[in-house]
Order: sequence, then C-alpha cells, then structure tokens
Amino acid sequence: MKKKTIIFEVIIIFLFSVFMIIWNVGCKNIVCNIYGGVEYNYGDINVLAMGKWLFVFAMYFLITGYEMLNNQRMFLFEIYRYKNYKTWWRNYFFNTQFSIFLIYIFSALELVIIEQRDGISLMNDLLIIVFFYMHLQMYISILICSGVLFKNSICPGVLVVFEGLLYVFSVSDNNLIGISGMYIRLKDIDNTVYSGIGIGIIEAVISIVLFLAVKSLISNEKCERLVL
Amino acid sequence: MNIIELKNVSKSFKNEQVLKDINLTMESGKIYGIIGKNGAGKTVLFKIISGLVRPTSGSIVVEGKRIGIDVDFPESLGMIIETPGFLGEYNAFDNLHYLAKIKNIISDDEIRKAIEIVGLDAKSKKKVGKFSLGMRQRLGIAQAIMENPDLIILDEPMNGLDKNGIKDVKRILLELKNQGKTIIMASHYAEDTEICDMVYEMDGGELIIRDLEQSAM
Repeated sequence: MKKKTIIFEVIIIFLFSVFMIIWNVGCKNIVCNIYGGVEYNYGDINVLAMGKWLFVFAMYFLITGYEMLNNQRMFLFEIYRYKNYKTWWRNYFFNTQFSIFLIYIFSALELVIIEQRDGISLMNDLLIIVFFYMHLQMYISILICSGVLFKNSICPGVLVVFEGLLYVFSVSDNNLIGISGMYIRLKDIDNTVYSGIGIGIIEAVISIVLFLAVKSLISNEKCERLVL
Repeated sequence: MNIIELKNVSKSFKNEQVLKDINLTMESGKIYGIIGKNGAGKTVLFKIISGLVRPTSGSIVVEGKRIGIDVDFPESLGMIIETPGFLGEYNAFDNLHYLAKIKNIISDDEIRKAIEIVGLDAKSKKKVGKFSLGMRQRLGIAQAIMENPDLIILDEPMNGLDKNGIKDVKRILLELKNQGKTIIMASHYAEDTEICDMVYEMDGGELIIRDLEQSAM
C-alpha cells in the first residue's frame, strides 16, 4: 500500500466530511443523514436525498478510480515480480479493498466521534457504517474486477445509476435488495440487524464470487490490454 | 547454455501481423541488441518474452520453462519497457522500495546500491515527478537490475540520456555481462549496440541477423 497516497486520500475524505457536515448542518444525526440511506417518502422519490446518497457513493468510486490509476502506472514494473498473474490479482484486489476500507473507516468514524458529543446512540451509528460498508465493498469489488477485465471503464457511472435505480425500485416498498446499505429503511423492517447482516452477507458472497471468477479468468491474455 | 528459445512465434492484433514467425535462440552471458524503427515489433517481442503478451502462435522457453504454460513470467527477470512510469510523488528510493517489497529478496542497502550504480543519489529526497527523462531512465535501469536477475530486458535504455549517460549505461551493461547476465536491449540507433555480442534488426515484424561490422557503422 502506498502510504503517501493513503494520506492524500484521507485529506480528500476529510475535506469531503467537512463539506458533508456543512451540508447537513442542523440535522440531528449527521452519520445517519450521510450513510443511513434515503428515508421512506410515502411512495414518492426524494430527489435531493437520493442525490446526496449517490454523491457519497460517487466520492468513494472516485477514490477507488484514483487508486486503480496509480496501480496501473506501476503495472509494467510490478507484474513480472509476482510469481504469476493469480498472485498479482490477489494482492491487487485485497490491497485496493483494504485501502478503501481504511479510507472509509477514517471518514466515517470521524463523524461518529464528532456525534458522540450530542449524545447520539453509538450502536446505531456503528450499525449505519457497517451496513453502508457492506454495500460499498460489493461495488468496489465490481469496480476492481471491471477495471481488469474490460477495456472501457464506464463502470463508476453505471454503478451510480444502478444504485439510483435500486432506490427508485424500492420507493414504495422495503424490498431488501433495493434498500441494502440503507439503515434508515432497514430499521423499518423487524429485526433490523438480521435483515441488514443478511443482505450484507449476500453482498460479501457476491464479492467473493467476483474475486474467484476473475482469479480463474486471469491470464496474460486478459491482462494484455493493461500492457499494450 | 541457451537462456531463451523462441520457436515460430507470431503475433497479430486484429488483422495486423506485428511479429512474423520469429525463431530466436539466445545464450546466457551475452548482450543482444535489437534495432528497428518505431512499430517494427521490438516492444511486442519483449512483452512476449517476458510473458506480458501471449503470442498468436509459437512457443517461448526461458531458462528451460515454457512461458504461459510452466510459468507466467520468467523467474529471474529484470526489465524496463517503454517510458518508465514511476510514482511521481515518491523519491527514487521509495519507488524502488515499493517494488522490492513484492519479491522481498533484497535489503534496503541493495536498493541504494542499485540507485548509486546508475549514477543517482540514493539519499536524495527529490520526487521522481521532478526527474528529467534521463534520470527516470536511469531509475528504470536501477529497478531492472536491483534484484540481480539472470535475464535483463531493456527497451530503449539510452532513450533521453546524454552522451555521458549513454557511456555510463554501456559500462553498467558490460559489467553485468561480465557477471554472467544475459541482456537484450532495443534501440532505434545502431551505435547504441556497439557493446552487443549479436545484433538483430526488426523490420515489419521480421527478425534478421545484422552484421556486427555493419551495426558499428
């Protein structure tokens, strides 16, 4: 992991958090407002809340893209030092996931700590950031996999639109797929924790399947576009 | 002893054939030069030998192992292909340290030694982003040789270097040859290959042996 890159990204995330705090001034629970999802609006689409929700994802996608770009710059020097393509893939996948996880934890915990002064439930805040992360990590996996397998990386934009569509499809009812990652909506369902963890586990399985699928596909034929 | 054997290697991209039925044998402890114009196929040939690109047909054996079958990459390889792309916000040592951590077979002192060998200051805090093309090229060579590989592939190593730089690189390559390393280098210019034991010319994806006296001219 590149230490200076991480520091740079933490600064970006810090600025992003400051922006979000300013944007959410006056609201009771900032963590919930940023990472909690879009509240049920009696069957209507809440455009502003949806935009805010998608903006948060777009921010993390941007950082993931920056990470991937940095890795590509060193690709020709790195790749032949690995034993084989599979070893490279394992390192690349987990290093990128871990670095985004660190950035996420820094940015989210910072807000959780700030909020503790206002007496907001710590458990609720922690559940919010866990549910959000479980959803985010699946998207990060998709980004990493598509970056290796496909030539045109239109993926971040497609994923933001996809997340928007998930919200639109869950506007009128709390279907678990549509509201995954959204603590606000999950808490409307009985046994919030079980529902949230259940959908989180499914998303973790999707990540594992994607990782293994690319691992079995990866070869110099697939990586050729990265070196040409 | 043969370190590299290429048999009937061809490579096509869509309808364009960039390598045509290449047969090549290289012995260890020698310097091989490949000269040719832009687009002649030198870089693709290097990428095929190093396992980065799969040939459309033919086989590549490096140190007795079939590339793409027995191993993905040659086991003891150092290379510089195209313009070196380092992390601009890091200094020379940090860039090489980051790469050295992958294999984890050399110490920090060995990294510093490689940087000093190519004429750069290992203790300098100057960021690579502020390096000239020649300095980047030197650092690229340092990353290629730092792990003491048996096979060194250098794609246009003299690119961006001044007269003294070229002289330094030639001296370094001759020292490596004396240590028993096999070096393959590509260049646009025949004069860069005066240190080579054998020179090939690539033209339109075909490889022909070039007379050494002719190369020196």
